[in-house]
Amino acid sequence: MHAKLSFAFRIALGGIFLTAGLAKISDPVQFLQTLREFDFFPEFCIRFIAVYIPWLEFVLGFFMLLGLLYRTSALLLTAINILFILAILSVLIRGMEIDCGCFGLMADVLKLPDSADMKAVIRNTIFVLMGLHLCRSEATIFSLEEYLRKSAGKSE
Amino acid sequence: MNKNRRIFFEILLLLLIALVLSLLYNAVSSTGLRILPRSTPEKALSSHSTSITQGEA
Repeated sequence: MHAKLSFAFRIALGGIFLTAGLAKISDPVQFLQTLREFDFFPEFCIRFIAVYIPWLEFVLGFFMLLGLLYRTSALLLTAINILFILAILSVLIRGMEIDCGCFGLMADVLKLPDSADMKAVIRNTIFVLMGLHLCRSEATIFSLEEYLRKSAGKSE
Repeated sequence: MNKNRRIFFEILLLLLIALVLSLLYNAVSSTGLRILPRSTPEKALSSHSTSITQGEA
Protein backbone atom coordinates (compact mmCIF):
# COMPACT_ATOMS: atom_id res chain seq x y z
CA MET A 1 0.00 0.00 0.00
CA HIS A 2 2.79 2.39 1.00
CA ALA A 3 4.76 1.55 -2.15
CA LYS A 4 1.71 2.09 -4.38
CA LEU A 5 0.96 5.42 -2.70
CA SER A 6 4.57 6.53 -3.25
CA PHE A 7 4.35 5.48 -6.89
CA ALA A 8 1.10 7.43 -7.34
CA PHE A 9 2.61 10.54 -5.71
CA ARG A 10 5.75 10.22 -7.82
CA ILE A 11 3.80 10.01 -11.09
CA ALA A 12 1.40 12.79 -10.07
CA LEU A 13 4.10 15.24 -8.94
CA GLY A 14 6.39 14.33 -11.84
CA GLY A 15 3.65 14.77 -14.41
CA ILE A 16 2.38 18.03 -12.96
CA PHE A 17 5.82 19.67 -12.75
CA LEU A 18 7.02 18.34 -16.10
CA THR A 19 4.01 19.84 -17.88
CA ALA A 20 4.02 23.04 -15.80
CA GLY A 21 7.71 23.50 -16.59
CA LEU A 22 7.16 22.90 -20.31
CA ALA A 23 4.26 25.37 -20.40
CA LYS A 24 6.45 28.08 -18.85
CA ILE A 25 9.48 27.26 -20.99
CA SER A 26 7.38 27.86 -24.11
CA ASP A 27 6.68 31.47 -23.09
CA PRO A 28 9.38 32.88 -20.78
CA VAL A 29 8.30 36.47 -21.46
CA GLN A 30 4.84 35.86 -19.99
CA PHE A 31 6.39 34.11 -16.98
CA LEU A 32 8.75 37.04 -16.47
CA GLN A 33 5.78 39.41 -16.55
CA THR A 34 3.96 37.27 -13.97
CA LEU A 35 7.03 37.28 -11.70
CA ARG A 36 7.20 41.09 -11.97
CA GLU A 37 3.51 41.33 -10.97
CA PHE A 38 4.34 39.40 -7.80
CA ASP A 39 6.82 42.12 -6.83
CA PHE A 40 8.45 39.51 -4.60
CA PHE A 41 11.69 38.62 -6.36
CA PRO A 42 14.62 41.08 -6.58
CA GLU A 43 14.91 42.81 -9.96
CA PHE A 44 18.59 41.97 -10.50
CA CYS A 45 17.89 38.22 -10.69
CA ILE A 46 14.29 38.12 -11.90
CA ARG A 47 15.26 37.37 -15.50
CA PHE A 48 17.48 34.51 -14.39
CA ILE A 49 14.64 33.12 -12.23
CA ALA A 50 12.24 33.36 -15.20
CA VAL A 51 14.64 31.31 -17.32
CA TYR A 52 15.85 28.88 -14.66
CA ILE A 53 12.80 27.89 -12.57
CA PRO A 54 10.75 26.40 -15.46
CA TRP A 55 13.71 24.26 -16.51
CA LEU A 56 14.30 23.18 -12.92
CA GLU A 57 10.64 22.13 -12.68
CA PHE A 58 10.95 20.27 -15.98
CA VAL A 59 14.16 18.43 -14.98
CA LEU A 60 12.83 17.50 -11.52
CA GLY A 61 9.52 16.32 -13.00
CA PHE A 62 11.39 14.26 -15.57
CA PHE A 63 13.59 12.59 -12.94
CA MET A 64 10.52 11.92 -10.76
CA LEU A 65 8.73 10.20 -13.64
CA LEU A 66 11.82 8.14 -14.45
CA GLY A 67 12.23 7.19 -10.82
CA LEU A 68 15.88 8.20 -10.80
CA LEU A 69 17.18 10.38 -7.91
CA TYR A 70 13.50 10.85 -7.13
CA ARG A 71 13.95 11.45 -3.38
CA THR A 72 16.34 14.31 -4.04
CA SER A 73 14.03 15.62 -6.77
CA ALA A 74 11.15 15.51 -4.29
CA LEU A 75 13.26 17.44 -1.78
CA LEU A 76 14.01 20.18 -4.32
CA LEU A 77 10.38 20.30 -5.49
CA THR A 78 9.32 20.72 -1.87
CA ALA A 79 11.72 23.65 -1.51
CA ILE A 80 10.42 25.27 -4.73
CA ASN A 81 6.83 24.82 -3.58
CA ILE A 82 7.58 26.45 -0.23
CA LEU A 83 9.03 29.42 -2.16
CA PHE A 84 5.84 29.57 -4.29
CA ILE A 85 3.67 29.45 -1.16
CA LEU A 86 5.61 32.34 0.39
CA ALA A 87 5.30 34.37 -2.83
CA ILE A 88 1.53 33.77 -3.06
CA LEU A 89 1.04 34.54 0.65
CA SER A 90 2.92 37.83 0.22
CA VAL A 91 0.53 38.72 -2.63
CA LEU A 92 -2.51 37.81 -0.51
CA ILE A 93 -1.25 39.85 2.46
CA ARG A 94 -0.82 42.90 0.21
CA GLY A 95 -4.37 42.40 -1.12
CA MET A 96 -3.30 42.03 -4.76
CA GLU A 97 -5.27 40.02 -7.32
CA ILE A 98 -2.95 38.50 -9.91
CA ASP A 99 -2.38 35.25 -11.81
CA CYS A 100 0.00 32.85 -10.09
CA GLY A 101 1.50 31.75 -13.41
CA CYS A 102 1.82 28.20 -12.11
CA PHE A 103 0.80 26.53 -15.36
CA GLY A 104 1.79 29.20 -17.88
CA LEU A 105 0.09 28.86 -21.26
CA MET A 106 -1.54 25.57 -20.23
CA ALA A 107 -3.85 27.41 -17.83
CA ASP A 108 -5.36 29.40 -20.72
CA VAL A 109 -5.66 26.40 -23.03
CA LEU A 110 -7.07 23.91 -20.48
CA LYS A 111 -8.95 26.52 -18.42
CA LEU A 112 -7.01 25.57 -15.28
CA PRO A 113 -7.32 27.67 -12.11
CA ASP A 114 -4.36 30.04 -12.21
CA SER A 115 -5.00 32.89 -9.80
CA ALA A 116 -2.81 33.58 -6.77
CA ASP A 117 -5.35 32.86 -4.03
CA MET A 118 -5.84 30.54 -1.05
CA LYS A 119 -6.69 27.66 -3.41
CA ALA A 120 -3.21 27.97 -4.90
CA VAL A 121 -1.70 27.97 -1.39
CA ILE A 122 -3.66 24.82 -0.46
CA ARG A 123 -2.71 23.14 -3.75
CA ASN A 124 0.98 23.90 -3.20
CA THR A 125 0.74 22.73 0.43
CA ILE A 126 -0.59 19.39 -0.84
CA PHE A 127 2.39 19.23 -3.23
CA VAL A 128 4.73 19.94 -0.28
CA LEU A 129 3.17 17.11 1.74
CA MET A 130 3.44 14.73 -1.23
CA GLY A 131 7.09 15.77 -1.70
CA LEU A 132 7.89 15.24 1.98
CA HIS A 133 6.29 11.80 1.84
CA LEU A 134 8.46 10.90 -1.17
CA CYS A 135 11.63 12.22 0.51
CA ARG A 136 11.21 9.62 3.25
CA SER A 137 9.96 6.85 0.98
CA GLU A 138 12.05 3.75 0.34
CA ALA A 139 9.70 2.37 -2.31
CA THR A 140 11.19 1.93 -5.77
CA ILE A 141 8.47 0.13 -7.73
CA PHE A 142 8.42 0.91 -11.47
CA SER A 143 11.49 3.09 -11.15
CA LEU A 144 14.75 3.26 -13.05
CA GLU A 145 16.60 3.00 -9.73
CA GLU A 146 15.05 -0.41 -9.12
CA TYR A 147 15.82 -1.56 -12.66
CA LEU A 148 19.47 -0.44 -12.39
CA ARG A 149 19.85 -2.11 -9.00
CA LYS A 150 18.43 -5.39 -10.33
CA SER A 151 20.60 -5.36 -13.43
CA ALA A 152 23.67 -4.58 -11.30
CA GLY A 153 22.75 -7.50 -9.02
CA LYS A 154 22.44 -9.88 -11.98
CA SER A 155 25.80 -8.92 -13.43
CA GLU A 156 27.62 -9.60 -10.13
CA MET B 1 30.10 7.88 0.72
CA ASN B 2 27.94 8.98 3.62
CA LYS B 3 24.27 9.69 3.02
CA ASN B 4 24.31 13.46 3.54
CA ARG B 5 27.20 13.95 1.17
CA ARG B 6 25.47 11.80 -1.46
CA ILE B 7 22.27 13.88 -1.16
CA PHE B 8 24.31 17.09 -1.42
CA PHE B 9 25.96 15.92 -4.65
CA GLU B 10 22.63 14.74 -6.07
CA ILE B 11 21.10 18.17 -5.37
CA LEU B 12 24.09 19.83 -7.02
CA LEU B 13 23.81 17.53 -10.03
CA LEU B 14 20.10 18.23 -10.54
CA LEU B 15 20.57 22.00 -10.15
CA LEU B 16 23.46 21.93 -12.59
CA ILE B 17 21.55 19.92 -15.22
CA ALA B 18 18.69 22.44 -15.06
CA LEU B 19 21.14 25.35 -15.22
CA VAL B 20 22.96 24.05 -18.29
CA LEU B 21 19.72 23.20 -20.11
CA SER B 22 18.13 26.56 -19.29
CA LEU B 23 21.13 28.60 -20.40
CA LEU B 24 21.59 26.57 -23.58
CA TYR B 25 17.93 26.78 -24.51
CA ASN B 26 17.79 30.47 -23.69
CA ALA B 27 20.80 31.09 -25.91
CA VAL B 28 19.39 29.30 -28.96
CA SER B 29 15.67 30.02 -28.54
CA SER B 30 14.01 32.83 -30.45
CA THR B 31 12.01 33.66 -27.31
CA GLY B 32 15.13 33.70 -25.12
CA LEU B 33 15.50 36.41 -22.49
CA ARG B 34 18.51 38.65 -22.01
CA ILE B 35 19.75 37.51 -18.57
CA LEU B 36 22.72 39.80 -18.08
CA PRO B 37 22.27 43.58 -17.92
CA ARG B 38 22.89 45.40 -21.20
CA SER B 39 26.44 46.68 -21.54
CA THR B 40 27.22 47.44 -25.18
CA PRO B 41 30.68 48.60 -26.29
CA GLU B 42 29.10 51.78 -27.71
CA LYS B 43 27.62 52.64 -24.34
CA ALA B 44 30.91 52.03 -22.55
CA LEU B 45 32.75 54.07 -25.17
CA SER B 46 30.30 56.99 -24.99
CA SER B 47 30.48 57.13 -21.19
CA HIS B 48 34.28 57.05 -21.43
CA SER B 49 34.40 59.90 -23.94
CA THR B 50 31.98 61.92 -21.81
CA SER B 51 34.24 61.60 -18.82
CA ILE B 52 37.25 62.69 -20.91
CA THR B 53 35.32 65.73 -22.18
CA GLN B 54 34.26 66.62 -18.68
CA GLY B 55 37.83 66.21 -17.53
CA GLU B 56 39.07 68.55 -20.26
CA ALA B 57 36.39 71.10 -19.47
